[in-house]
Amino acid sequence: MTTNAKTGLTVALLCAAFSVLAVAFLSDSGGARRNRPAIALVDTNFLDTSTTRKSYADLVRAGADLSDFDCYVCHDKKSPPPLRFDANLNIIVAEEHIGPSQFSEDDIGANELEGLVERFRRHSDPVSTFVWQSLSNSQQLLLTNYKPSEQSSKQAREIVLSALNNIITNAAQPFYEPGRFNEVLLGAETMLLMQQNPTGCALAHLNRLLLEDAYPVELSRNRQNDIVMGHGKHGRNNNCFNCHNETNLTLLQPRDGRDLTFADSTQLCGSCHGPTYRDWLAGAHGRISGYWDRGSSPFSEDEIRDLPKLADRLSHQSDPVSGFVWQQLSKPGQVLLANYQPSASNSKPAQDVVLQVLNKIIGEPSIYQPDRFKGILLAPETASLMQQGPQDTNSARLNRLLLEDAFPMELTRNQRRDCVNCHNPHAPPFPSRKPAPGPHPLREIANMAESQTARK
Amino acid sequence: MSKPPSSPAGTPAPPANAMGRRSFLRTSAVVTTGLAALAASVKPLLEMNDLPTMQQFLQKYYKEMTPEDMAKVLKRIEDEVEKQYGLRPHVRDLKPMDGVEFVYCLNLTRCIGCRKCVHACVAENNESRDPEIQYIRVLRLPDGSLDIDKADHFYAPDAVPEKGFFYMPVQCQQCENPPCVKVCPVHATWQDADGITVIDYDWCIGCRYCEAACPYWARRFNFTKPSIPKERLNPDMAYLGNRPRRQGVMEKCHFCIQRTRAGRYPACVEVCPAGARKFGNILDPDSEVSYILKSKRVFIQLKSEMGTKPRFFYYFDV
Repeated sequence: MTTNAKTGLTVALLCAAFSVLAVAFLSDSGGARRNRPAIALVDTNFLDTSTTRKSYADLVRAGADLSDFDCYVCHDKKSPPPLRFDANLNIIVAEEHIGPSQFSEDDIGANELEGLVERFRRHSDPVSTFVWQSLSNSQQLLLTNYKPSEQSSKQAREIVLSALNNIITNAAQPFYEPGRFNEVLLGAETMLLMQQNPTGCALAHLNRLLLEDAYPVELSRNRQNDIVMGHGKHGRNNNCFNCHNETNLTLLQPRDGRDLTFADSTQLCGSCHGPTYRDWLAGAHGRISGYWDRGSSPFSEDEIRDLPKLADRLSHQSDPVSGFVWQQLSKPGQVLLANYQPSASNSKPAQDVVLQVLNKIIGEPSIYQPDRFKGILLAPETASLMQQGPQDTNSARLNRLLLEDAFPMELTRNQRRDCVNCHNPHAPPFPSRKPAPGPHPLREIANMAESQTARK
Repeated sequence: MSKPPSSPAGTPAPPANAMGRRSFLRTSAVVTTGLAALAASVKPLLEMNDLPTMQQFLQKYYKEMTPEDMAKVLKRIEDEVEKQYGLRPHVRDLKPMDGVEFVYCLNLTRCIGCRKCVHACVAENNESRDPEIQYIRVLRLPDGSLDIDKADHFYAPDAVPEKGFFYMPVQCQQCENPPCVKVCPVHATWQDADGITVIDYDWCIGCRYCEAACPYWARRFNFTKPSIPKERLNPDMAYLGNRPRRQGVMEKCHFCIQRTRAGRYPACVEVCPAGARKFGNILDPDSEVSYILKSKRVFIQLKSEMGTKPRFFYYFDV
């Protein structure tokens, strides 16, 4: 082979090699991104980070309606309620405490009917499929053609309610099946009730709980009258009077015989859970939100929970603290708040005025005066801070706590509160804050999960 | 030199350096193939649609910027974000506070492995959704062992916690002796006075040395342009924190600098339903982290044998 021929062959081979490489580059062959396995979403109801539950202590502080907690509406004040036990020595809870098992119209959120119908129509999960199959053909047709309008919504709401309530009351066919609730995160109370193999009314109650767990966004949990028995996992603390005073149900009584009010329930919890109570006092137990820097935490916009109510209290100077805050306002600020009417357009200036005055007060020396705070129930943390004496370094923190105590329903507290705030079965469930704008996170995630399953 | 042979027909022979038809075709084929190969090899450059602007390219080093320079940079970032996402953010350059050193404590007894912290972190810190970048990895470990080789972070049960397992979330440990800072060739990452190791995304060249140096796999690289839905953008931003990153830079957990340097708790602390996460100032003797480190009997620093001295402590309820 001559030199020219060798050169020609080499060039031809190189050309061929480059051509192959060029084709490979252009077609991305071998260079496609490898998809890593998706990290599963276990429980993603995370966007509501605020602790907006109101504890009994908060309600007392705010002077709110406590009729839900008035034991003596039904019980005779002079004698303790009689306790009845079943064969296993478990206390039998009176039916009045169990709450309504049927859904009413208010239990379906104003904007949630559409989502609920959509889930039924699309058979988005086994529970929805079950509900859909329980409907008659004509009902299915109505829901299939459902479009949000006044007339159509009314019909759809009635159909949905009757379907849900039929499931609740139908004792012949068990609603719970493991396969059906595979993807549902069951609540603690549901699990507890399920273990007891309930029948009759209790079964209806369980069915309602299951539906609430399956549709946590769409259906509200209206169980203000519930009493959860069987505190703790060991099943021994199953008696009303382990915690309540026998002769006065509105008082709590730890083992040492002290009488405590509901506002001091933390001390009752601490009488058994000593190490946890110690951690809690130090801030190391339980959920916490807000500011790690407790000395310099001014109020921010999202910490004004109820601006209209706050403006009303301030402008009417309904109590000495409101009067004091009012005095600190500038004249234009007073005029603005006095004329404040809740609307989207004028909320911002009013909010700014309120924030300015509250944060100005925080920066001042201690605002505590016995007369000014007479009748206001102070949180244990406020009380313990006051006992440390007036130190300049703590005055900002103390003032903030005092303001939070004075306006418990209007301002968000940034510290943890009491045990019942997290462990209170009477508290409304999370989430109670308005959902973020845009598609609901749970739906978005459901769609994402669906598309992932389809891709597989 | 020999005389070139004359053509048999008597026509003058072409000059020796003239290009014949064959050589022309051969040369054309070689040149065309070469150009095609060159074009194919530079094709990835066409996909780089996230090139820095001139202002960004000429920007000074973070530590050399005057307040006026920084104000201009913050305005530029706000403009860019507004143009891209249709939402005017509030970008701040928050400095470390005096007398503050952050420490994180995580109670392994309490953690239930729900991954709420992971998703809250993604939402708070404007992390890319596609491909998904997550700063926190939750490891599932069998009871009675701390052997990371047995850990699984792709676990997907129907419900957590699972019997026989415990969970250990891992994120940037904010080491006192950070190997990632040492290897950075351009000083785009450094440790601030409050203990947070930060990254200047405008200074990072994307060499990924830090990723290789980190023993906790805490650093993430933006292989593609991050994608964040407009309605999910968190407009409360910090320069060294959660402002949107571009393709080709590193990012990692910064203890939610936009929150913590303003006195607030990080998002993962607030969202933890079990109260397993605790955060605070170790220089404050009354803080919860001081209490935990003083009173809890068992705590570990992950891979402490590496000498990185993490500011992230794991502890157990005794």
